[in-house]
Amino acid sequence: MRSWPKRLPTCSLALTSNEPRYAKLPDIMKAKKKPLDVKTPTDYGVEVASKVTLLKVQSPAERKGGIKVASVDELIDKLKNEAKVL
Amino acid sequence: MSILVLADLHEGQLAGATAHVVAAAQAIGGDIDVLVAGEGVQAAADAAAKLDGVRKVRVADNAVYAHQLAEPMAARLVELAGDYTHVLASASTPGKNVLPRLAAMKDVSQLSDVIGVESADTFLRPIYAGNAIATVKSDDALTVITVRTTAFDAVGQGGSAAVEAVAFAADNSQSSFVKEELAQSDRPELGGAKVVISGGRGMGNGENFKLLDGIADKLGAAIGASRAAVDAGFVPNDMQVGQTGKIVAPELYIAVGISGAIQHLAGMKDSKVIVAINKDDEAPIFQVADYGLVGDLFEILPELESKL
Ligand SMILES: Cc1cc2nc3c(=O)[nH]c(=O)nc-3n(C[C@H](O)[C@H](O)[C@H](O)COP(=O)(O)OP(=O)(O)OC[C@H]3O[C@@H](n4cnc5c(N)ncnc54)[C@H](O)[C@@H]3O)c2cc1C
Repeated sequence: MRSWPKRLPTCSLALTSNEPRYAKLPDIMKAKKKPLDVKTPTDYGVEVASKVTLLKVQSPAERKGGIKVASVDELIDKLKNEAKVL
Repeated sequence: MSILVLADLHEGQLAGATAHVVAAAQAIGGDIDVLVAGEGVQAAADAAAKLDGVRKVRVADNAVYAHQLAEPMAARLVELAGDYTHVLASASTPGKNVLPRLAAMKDVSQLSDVIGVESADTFLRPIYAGNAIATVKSDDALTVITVRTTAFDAVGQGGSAAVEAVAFAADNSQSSFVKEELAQSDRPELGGAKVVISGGRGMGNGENFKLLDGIADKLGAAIGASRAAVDAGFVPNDMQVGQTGKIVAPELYIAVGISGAIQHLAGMKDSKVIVAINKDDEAPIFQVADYGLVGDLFEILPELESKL
């Protein structure tokens, strides 16, 4: 966990902090009457084209399930003598 | 091709991740420089100079880079980036914090979590939490990449690169450091440990995590956790393994009381050997485990500790 003060304006991303705010129906109706300006990125001189191209998508290597061992002793034996990680 | 690798620091020392990022840089090919930015980082710079394949180490040693805050770090990188075709860092907390800012300032698209290099402009990266692997090509003038360190074997330490200081430039009026709360532990770093033992919701409470301590001591293991264990407050956030936590790929991963949700698997399924201990013999974790032991962890853990 890190804390630091930040000069505004700032933009942040939170994972699990706030309750979502659900708009009420009357507010949705009211919002519909508000003027809505549609802007494109070019209005602000911003180019949004990405220079990254997706060439291919493939499945990752599947991991095969192994075996069930019956006891702690068997587990330790397998890790020592078969997998050789102990 | 000329590549700048941003070194990872751990308490002021060079973190193991850097040797993996240099390996990724070698796969791209070209001259490889390492930037070590921090405060009191001469030792880290000397360690970076020993990494195989490094041409030179550039050191920015100044209080403004202490704690590697994104704002001054990115400001420093932006100035250096002009000398390079690629900037690489590990996909760790600092790398994920600093590089997007650099990419935005250079107006280029970052490639995150790269796990393979096809050529200097074409890379492999996991998408959908590792359920698919995308091959992507970047036509940006500067390629900004975070590297998933578990996908590249660390380079050796037989090098002797030159170490040079880069003058201080970054201004940091934007942010300052207040505090950092990390779980204090003498255990190895989760990301670099050869053995990891993780507990899940099945551990029941934070106190019970002590059951993992003795085993971790005997195996020299780092201790991790599932998100459920973290969310329930059993253990701190920085112990979380998974899609939204740390990605690990140790020689041995032991999952205790963890069901094996896809988001957890995303963080550990590249481990060499996986052991699962769970009382539910249908738990999905057994589908990826090399060795599964069905039973009550409260009986199994003490027995395992005494027999190791
Ligand atoms: C966007 C998103 C991101 C996520 N990111 C992550 C992530 O990074 N990491 C992560 O881990 N999860 C992540 N999750 C959560 C994930 O979906 C699961 O909820 C979580 O992994 C479950 O944790 P668990 O296995 O500890 O708990 P559970 O699924 O509740 O499993 C507990 C297991 O313990 C076993 N058990 C209980 N008591 C005992 C006992 N006495 N002995 C032996 N076994 C016992 C049970 O049989 C069960 O299998 C994410 C979810 C979302 C939606």
